[in-house]
Amino acid sequence: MRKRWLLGAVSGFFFGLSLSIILLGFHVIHLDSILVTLLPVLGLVVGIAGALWAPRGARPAPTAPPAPPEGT
Amino acid sequence: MRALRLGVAALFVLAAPLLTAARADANLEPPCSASGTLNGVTYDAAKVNAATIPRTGDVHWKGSIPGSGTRAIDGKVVVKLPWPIPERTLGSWTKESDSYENSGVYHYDLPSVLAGVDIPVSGDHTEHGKTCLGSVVVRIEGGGVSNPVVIGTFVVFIISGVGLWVSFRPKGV
Repeated sequence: MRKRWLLGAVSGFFFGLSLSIILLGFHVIHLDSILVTLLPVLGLVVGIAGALWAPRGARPAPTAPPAPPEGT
Repeated sequence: MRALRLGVAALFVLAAPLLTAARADANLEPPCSASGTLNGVTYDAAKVNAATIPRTGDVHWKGSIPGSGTRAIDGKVVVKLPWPIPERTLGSWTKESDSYENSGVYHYDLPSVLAGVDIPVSGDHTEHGKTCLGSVVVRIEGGGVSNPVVIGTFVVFIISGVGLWVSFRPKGV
């Protein structure tokens, strides 16, 4: 998938932003906490890094060409 | 890749407790005194460092400091917002004054999206080289799943989590 890093960036940013809003709504952090700003940025960075450094999947072993028929 | 995941996990484990640790909110220090009455409940700034209030209301406030004569005063009450947003000033004063007490009514009407949010409010007053400091964490009633913004945020959280999982999957799979 091309532009995988873009998917990682957008997903990571909104993941971090939504997490900070959830933490605010459940009184885990105060409104002036640095996490409110830090989490979206961290999500953006982790999303890009994870997408760029995702390992390549195993490629299927190349199949040998069929043997020619006998007698030719 | 595994090293990256472990590094990020360690960062959150180590940093989160430090960043979410409860603040040591300071009550109002003497010789200043201040209080606010909301819906019949009086909050003494010298004794209270946290309060839960409704989204809208009228606060009957008063403040005083011992002394006499005219002198220069300076002070403000601010709401602290997340960096890099600057703090918002609710009220300020800087002038020559011979008054040593003041009172009034402050009307506020907060948006529903702030329900359940803990908002740090702080203030200071300076005169004759002395400074009084005080702060309180104000929690707006409601919050949690009763805040529609939080419910919508859960949906975004799940969708973006799926997006992250897809972007982290091995390439070519």
